[in-house]
Amino acid sequence: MTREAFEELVGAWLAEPEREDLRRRVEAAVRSEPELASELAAWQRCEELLRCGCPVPPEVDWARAKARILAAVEQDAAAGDRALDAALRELPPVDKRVHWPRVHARVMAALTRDAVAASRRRRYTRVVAGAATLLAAAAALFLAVLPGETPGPAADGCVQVRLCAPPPDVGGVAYAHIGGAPPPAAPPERFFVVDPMPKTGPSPEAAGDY
Amino acid sequence: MEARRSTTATPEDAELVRATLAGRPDAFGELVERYQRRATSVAYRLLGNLHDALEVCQESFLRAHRKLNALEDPSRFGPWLLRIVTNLSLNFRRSRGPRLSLEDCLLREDESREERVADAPHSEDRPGARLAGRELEERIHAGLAELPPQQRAALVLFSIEQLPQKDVARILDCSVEAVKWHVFQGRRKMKEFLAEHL
Repeated sequence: MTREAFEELVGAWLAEPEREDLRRRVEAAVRSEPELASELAAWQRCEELLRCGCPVPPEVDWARAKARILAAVEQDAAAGDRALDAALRELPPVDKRVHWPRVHARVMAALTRDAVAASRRRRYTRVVAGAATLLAAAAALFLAVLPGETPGPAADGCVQVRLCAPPPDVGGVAYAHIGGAPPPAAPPERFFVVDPMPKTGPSPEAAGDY
Repeated sequence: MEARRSTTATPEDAELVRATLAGRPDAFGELVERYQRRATSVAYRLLGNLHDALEVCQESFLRAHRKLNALEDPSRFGPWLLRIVTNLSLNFRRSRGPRLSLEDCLLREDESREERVADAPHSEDRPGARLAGRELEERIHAGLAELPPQQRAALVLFSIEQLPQKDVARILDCSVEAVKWHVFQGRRKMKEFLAEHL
């Protein structure tokens, strides 16, 4: 085994001393080449010296060192806070960075626009309400005065009187108004005369519903 | 060889991170307590100078605190912090700013003797420990300083700090294979540099 190869093998074993396979290989190499034993011993001694040969000097007051560290940490934190406060105070005041007349003009313009929009909304609402009212009235009127319909129930304010079995020369429908406005398209008027009742009482020919 | 120390967090790291972000002041203190020694240790081995290491450690925690809300996985605070430490250490010499005075964080000689006893990371019965004199220490630091930055960082994090290769790869932002290669090359050079002590 070359010296370099043995050094690598010993180095690997010292890095992982728990590995039995490496230990066996080192021991086998030393058995086969006894001059490698001194090389192995030198490596092991060097490792021990590194671990034991330069201990940290005992003349350190650890309690005081800890106190110094913590004081430094506290000062550092406080300094950080002070630096931040100082940086914040360095910022220029807001009022020196604003064009106030321009701001005033913008605000007034926005208020005016808002007022105009509100007025438009109110007008729109009134127009819509008025249109809806007119539409409803028109619909009602339309329904009331539909021409050529079989006379149905009388419109508001009118009373329909139907003559049953009328005499041939008398019309069959008459309208009588009870308050309210007359229907706009009144049918042609027909008149009828109600004769006083004969003394003998109503005749069977004239009997009917009134 | 002892088992690899992992920086994978216990659930408490994630909780501490969330508590810090929520404004609890003691939560970050707990994280500092947990990681300051390791952070200083890594920086010390990368820089070879304790003052520099303490400075880097403090700066690392400062940066971690500033960027804590950018940490995607709060349970990975440890590797993330060591990544900051490693990058700051490797860039330390290039970007020299005003030096912090951290003299008050060093113990007096009589205090440090107690620390040596109470906090000795390496016991006398470890192989090689009796060789860890001042001179050897300086030699090791000099050798590490000669290494290219990636090899130095890989060696420190893997061989000295004993982090898993996956964590080292994340910290160095490279593949595991690259970590193995850097560690291998770094070891090879250190072995030649320390030949007279081996």
